[in-house]
Amino acid sequence: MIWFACPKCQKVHGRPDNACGAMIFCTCGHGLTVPWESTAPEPVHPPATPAQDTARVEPLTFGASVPPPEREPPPAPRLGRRGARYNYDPNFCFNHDSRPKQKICDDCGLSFCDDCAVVFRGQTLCGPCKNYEAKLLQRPTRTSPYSLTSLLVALAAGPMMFCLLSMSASRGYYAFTLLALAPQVIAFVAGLLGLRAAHADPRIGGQGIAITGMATACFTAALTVALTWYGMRLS
Amino acid sequence: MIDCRQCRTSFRTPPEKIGARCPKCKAPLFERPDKHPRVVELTACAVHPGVDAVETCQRCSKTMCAACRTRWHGEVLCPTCVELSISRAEPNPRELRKQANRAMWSLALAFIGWLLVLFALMLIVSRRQDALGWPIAFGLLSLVPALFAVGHGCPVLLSRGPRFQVAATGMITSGLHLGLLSGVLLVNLWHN
Repeated sequence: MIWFACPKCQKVHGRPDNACGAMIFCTCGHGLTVPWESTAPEPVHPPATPAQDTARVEPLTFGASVPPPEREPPPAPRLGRRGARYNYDPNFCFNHDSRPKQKICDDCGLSFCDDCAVVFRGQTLCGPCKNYEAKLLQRPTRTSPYSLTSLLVALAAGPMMFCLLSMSASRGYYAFTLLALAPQVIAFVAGLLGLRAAHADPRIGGQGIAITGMATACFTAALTVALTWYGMRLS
Repeated sequence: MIDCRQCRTSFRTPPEKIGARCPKCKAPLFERPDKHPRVVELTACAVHPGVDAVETCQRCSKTMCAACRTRWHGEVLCPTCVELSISRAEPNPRELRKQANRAMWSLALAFIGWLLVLFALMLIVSRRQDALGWPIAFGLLSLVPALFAVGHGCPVLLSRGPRFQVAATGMITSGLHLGLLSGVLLVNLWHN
């Protein structure tokens, strides 16, 4: 046994030799590390009570037909390995078969005792359901589909504008290039919707992508108008 | 695909819709077993006096049992401290790191855009009349990193995230780039 004292309240603790290096907590709340060897004297134990006389044991008698004592049947297994449904009594705690139901988890609906239920954000939850709720609150943001649409359409509108420009130049009708403004307007509107969705729901992100799409759409639209005007001036 | 460790059933439902427990056997689906469980000794949970404590809250130092222990933003906290963090709308450290990366990318993309413009100018200055198409192509290509730099820097500026100054530098650099290219294009179109 390793004996050591709490530096805060001087209470002496004892642990087996294989617990050295482990972290424990004293009754005063102070955290302690079990040392490699005893750093405090072993406390004086009260004298042991004398052993009582053992009951006289009768010798075995062979040949007599003594019926075996009645035993309770073994408890049913709690959980099966392959798809066996758990048979739990809703009137008792899910984790402690012998404790009566005191609370019901608002998420999974199972019955628990007071020691297994936690109040979290106004709800009574069991440990796994409380951890699940906390994990859902920490999920990374997902990109709004409007933002992605804005960026992709804006990037595609640029080459489309040049293709329309060359087609217009071959036909001599430069106003045809203004058709390229349609996807640019769509990209700008989609970017606005993406920013609005990100502002409304903190779990939705993609503001950077939406702004890139809107900026690209604006710049490409300005380039479209400038090149169309230039072409019309030339013709 | 989510697998229940207890009854070995697989589910195709996404994690945010399936719930904390297996619909068949009610075993917790997302609880990780403690590989190195702390020694549970002597002290009781501050909320559940009949249960041994396994951890202390990293903010308020209250003892907690396994049911009360909650992982929040990389820390082990009690439910009260988690609710306090939610009410104060504390940012997730992961989101802060993303904002910082966005700011750095904004600056890097702005410089890449300027490098492409300088390369196009070099080609023009070398007076290779038959290669005029390449400077125009590099000039237009330089718009792509400049526009992405604007997109990366804007959210950091709007949310006043970390490395705010770096994002502002990236935005100013890419803004100058876009303004310069727009000006050169308009002047050329006007005079021709």
